[in-house]
Amino acid sequence: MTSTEWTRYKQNRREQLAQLGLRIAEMPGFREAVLADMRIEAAYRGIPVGDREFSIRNIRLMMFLCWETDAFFALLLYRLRTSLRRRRVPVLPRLLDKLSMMIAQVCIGDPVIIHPGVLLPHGQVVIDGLTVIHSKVVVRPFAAIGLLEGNYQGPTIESGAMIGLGAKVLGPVTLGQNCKIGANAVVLANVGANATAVGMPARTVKQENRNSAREKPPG
Amino acid sequence: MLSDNTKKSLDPKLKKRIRRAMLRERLAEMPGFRKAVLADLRVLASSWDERIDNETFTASVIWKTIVYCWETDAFLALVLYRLRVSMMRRRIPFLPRLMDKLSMMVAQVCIGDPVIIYPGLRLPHGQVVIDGATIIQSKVRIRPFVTIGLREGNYQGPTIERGASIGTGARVIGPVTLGRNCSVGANAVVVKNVPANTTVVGIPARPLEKGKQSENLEQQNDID
Repeated sequence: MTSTEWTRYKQNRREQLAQLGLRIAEMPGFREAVLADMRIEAAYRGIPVGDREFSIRNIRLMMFLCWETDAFFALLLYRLRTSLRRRRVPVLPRLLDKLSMMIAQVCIGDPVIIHPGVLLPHGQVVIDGLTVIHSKVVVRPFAAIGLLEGNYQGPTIESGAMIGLGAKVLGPVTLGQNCKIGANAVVLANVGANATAVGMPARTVKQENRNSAREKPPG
Repeated sequence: MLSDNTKKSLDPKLKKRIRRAMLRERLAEMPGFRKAVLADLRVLASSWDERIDNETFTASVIWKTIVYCWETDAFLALVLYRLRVSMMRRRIPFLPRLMDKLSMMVAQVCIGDPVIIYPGLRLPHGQVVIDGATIIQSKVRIRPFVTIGLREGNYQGPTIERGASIGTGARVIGPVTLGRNCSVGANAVVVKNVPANTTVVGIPARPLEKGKQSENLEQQNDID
């Protein structure tokens, strides 16, 4: 990152904030997202889920999970927040953000796109920047998915990736499908699909050749 | 300062009194509330591409403070910490501890009593632990999951000099000095002194090679 790039970033930041509106349009709807999150969380705990509708039974299961688990409530608040922001409700989204930080220390920035179905086993994660997280991703506690100094483009994490305890994924990198990031790894370069990366900076130590998608949800 | 043997032989009440006297000494060094919050606000605003020209604590500055407390993750916690310090200086009972708990609740910012933080600290997301007889100078950036703390049995903490930047999840432990404008990589564990304008990474933290250093330096100077 040179100094000219940094100045350019500063100039572009306002435009990027304007792009926030576009990103919000890409974010998933509340019901779809929450149902997918619930299915993942329930599968992680071995609770059978019958239907895919937003039924009374599923709402009860959601309430149970909110009460029983560490971070599902915070994730639900995050989903509520994006849907409120999409409807241009003032004040409340930020309040929900603060609440989710209080409940499970989940700080998710405004421009982050999280696709339906993400598992946060215990909360305590920081996600920020122009980051995209696809479905079936597991983010373990103390993980930070964020930015390098002076670059507002964040990581892209593809479906089925598992991010270990305390791992840091920084800068405009791509984590491939079903990859695994070890505990306390610092990821500064792309990680291929089905690979396992560990260390500081992270290096690929194992590469599985698997074309078929994961049968079970991760957990 | 007393040696370890004398400390052990002292009676607990006297020990407590000595600790309080030390704390009082350190409190006298801490910055005032208005000055500190104004500097914090400036540092935050500069990273958001805005400028605050006011030198005094006017109504517009108070409004900006409230806006930033609302908009950002950890600025409220920092303001609560500054409030707590100023209350401790005025010997107000009970309330400082409450402020501490509040700032822990709001953004998980745990800052110990004897820590001296100069005006102008930047906490992007909170979630930091700072403890011990530590000094943090101005324009230091501390990213989430950072711990700045003590070694077992030594109450002297790190000294972090002006413009240092501490990466996500780094640990700075024991009586070390981080030089001016140095930067600590993500998840590094710093147990030795870091010279000025250097980047250190790894466990235990070691300086990066020369080629990468210069690049980093340029970036550093630009921000400050």
